[in-house]
Amino acid sequence: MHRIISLEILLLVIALVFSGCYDAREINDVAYVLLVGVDMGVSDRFRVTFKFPSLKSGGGQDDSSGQAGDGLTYDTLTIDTPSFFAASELANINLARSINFMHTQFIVISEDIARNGLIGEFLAQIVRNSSIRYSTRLLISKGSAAELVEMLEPIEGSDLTKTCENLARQSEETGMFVDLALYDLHDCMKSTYHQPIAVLAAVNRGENFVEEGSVWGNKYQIPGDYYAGDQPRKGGGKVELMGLAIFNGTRMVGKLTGHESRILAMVKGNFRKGTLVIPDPKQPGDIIAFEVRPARKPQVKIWFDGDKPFIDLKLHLEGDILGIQSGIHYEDPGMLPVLENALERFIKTELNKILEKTQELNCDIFYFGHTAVKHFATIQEWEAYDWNSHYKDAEIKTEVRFYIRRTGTMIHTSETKFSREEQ
Amino acid sequence: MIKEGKFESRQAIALLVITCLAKEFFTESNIIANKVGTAGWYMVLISAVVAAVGFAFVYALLKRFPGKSIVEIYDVVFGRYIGFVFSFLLAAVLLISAAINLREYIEVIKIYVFPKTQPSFLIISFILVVVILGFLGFENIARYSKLAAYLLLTEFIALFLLSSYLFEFYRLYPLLGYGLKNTLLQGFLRSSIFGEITLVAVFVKSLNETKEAKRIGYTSLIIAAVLLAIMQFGFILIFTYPFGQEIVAPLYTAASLIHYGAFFHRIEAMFLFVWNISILIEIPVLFYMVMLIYSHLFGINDRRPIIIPLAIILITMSLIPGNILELMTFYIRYIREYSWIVYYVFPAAALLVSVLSKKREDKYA
Repeated sequence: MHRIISLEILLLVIALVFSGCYDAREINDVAYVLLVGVDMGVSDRFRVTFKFPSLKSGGGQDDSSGQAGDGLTYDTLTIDTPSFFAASELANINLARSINFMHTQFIVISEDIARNGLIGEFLAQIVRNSSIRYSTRLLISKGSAAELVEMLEPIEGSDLTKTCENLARQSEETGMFVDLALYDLHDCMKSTYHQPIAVLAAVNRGENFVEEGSVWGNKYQIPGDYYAGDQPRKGGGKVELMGLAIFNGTRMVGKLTGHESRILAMVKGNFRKGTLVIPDPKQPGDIIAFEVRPARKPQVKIWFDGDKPFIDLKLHLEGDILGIQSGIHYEDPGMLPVLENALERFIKTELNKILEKTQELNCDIFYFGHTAVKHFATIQEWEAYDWNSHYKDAEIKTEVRFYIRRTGTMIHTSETKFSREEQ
Repeated sequence: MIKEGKFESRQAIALLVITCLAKEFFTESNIIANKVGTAGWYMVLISAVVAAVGFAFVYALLKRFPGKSIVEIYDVVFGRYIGFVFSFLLAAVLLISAAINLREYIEVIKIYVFPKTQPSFLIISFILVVVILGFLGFENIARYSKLAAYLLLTEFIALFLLSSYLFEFYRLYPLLGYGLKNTLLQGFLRSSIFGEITLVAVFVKSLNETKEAKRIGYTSLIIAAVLLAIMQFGFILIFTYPFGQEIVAPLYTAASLIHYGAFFHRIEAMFLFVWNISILIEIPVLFYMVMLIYSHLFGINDRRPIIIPLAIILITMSLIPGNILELMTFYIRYIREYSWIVYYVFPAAALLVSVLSKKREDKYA
């Protein structure tokens, strides 16, 4: 009898529990914010913009016009508030849905905020809340973060989450920025080993793309030597990620172009591959293209003379020839060193320029501090020395080695034959 | 009456290792980073060496009185009254440990996982499990521990390997942290991390013979020390010391950082299993030990009537800290820095007295 009563009670409890929580929230009761933009406010301290799926089209099944991607539509909401979480609370009132940050892809902070050193103030609020993941990516927007958030839309039918993921992944393919999360920035801001960097992003309105005019000719321009938003192009996604913002603590003090970011990646050892184009050493009007990748890890040696640091940096790269515009037969074993030396000189010159730039800013974004710290036994000694303050005094010697491994599908460049009149 | 069965040494090892490690999954890594900076991974090994010395006293004492638990030995060595005080203090420390570990778990789970749930609901749900396990008996907890140990170890290894792409070895430097002297001192003080190993002396009668206690104690200590050192090593490789000192639950945060492309991330749910299962072993074990000692002290044969009152005391004690800062800076700090006195010094004192007074019940008696 007892067993039957116990079983009945158990079944009743199960029925009660399995029917769902009394305070359960359906998925459409929540607004999953995908993008957050933060600008300096006008009516209050900060202007916070949220972008989230609108669910207007019935869960993404509607195919009517005006929708982005796979039929999903996205809404944006911009609020001027004194703090980030005040904004999210106010957003709840306006949306009749609860804002949730569990699926946030990008937090976009305007350059104004970064330059004014307010990023630390803002991050302090964000990282304290467990609903925002440390793996959320953080971007510094060249112009208005609100505009960037509005303009960032799915490309080629994918949803916004996938677009953001794919955009970030391009860092591996090009090296023109680094895939950095909130964790990286927060860790670096507190770090005694180096200074932080963050990814630059901007809306590209195509203003630098000149439709008509005199032809470019034989002038040489380093590919990717632009900041985000400046690339001369037409079409494609409206938002581009290129280059890096340099911070001293919480204050943005400078930036690197996409090309400079790639050189930085080479030194830090997280460069995977990229295309480098240099002037032809024998015929400077033409160019030669290489696919470059690391041959082995960069070698960094650091020693001290008194308080002055000395840095010896060696880069070992290898690559393949992608194109020889001049038609000169560089595939000849005797000619390969000419190309190798030309690329070595090019990278060394560029590297020295960036080192000088970062030393002027006194920001060790090359992470030399990771090696320097090995000379210190205790945290007290390390903090008393204060590497971040001494980086500007470092004497840095660089050396670049480049080896051509393959020449693409061609092993010989034959001479182009012209008729007598053409010659 | 709750039936007290015997269990095998592997079950005891699993139980002790989980009991030692469970508290480390919460704020302990943060506290260690605050105390010794980058030296946390080898500080725990120093603590393990101190704990090994402490356990040597415990085992030497058990060997002199085969078949007797430590609380019975205290009675024999010190007499009924002083023995009562020693045993009562041990029970008090275990009860306070259980209460603060419970509160720590609730605080962290509320911050990271159930921010909208009432703490009282979480505590009562948890205590219900503790009470049920109390009624089921210690043998069941031990058997469940062995079963859970395989799952926990698999998840531990998986999380370590998955997060290894975040490792940066420069974060180990400066190697001496806040100084070798400080690391040695903290290593000594925090030897209480492994104090639960000495619980084998409380439940020694559940083992087949007293000699097993030595193997169980040292094996548990070695496994716990290695796992804890690996955990601290991984932690310091992921977070630079200033950052690591900021986070409430660094290991959970590390698990939440694991991100392999668009489809493989948010696997901290795996870590939740490690948290929940381990704490659901640790607190019932400590609770049961308190129950064993208490029933011995007051000559209670049927332990069932004291389960619920003790559970209420446990809930009440867990609610004493006013906030998480008070919990961490006062309760956790003092209990984890000074409970070695109860775990190692009391048995050492009993051993000394038994040697001086020539009290022994072994074959040399």
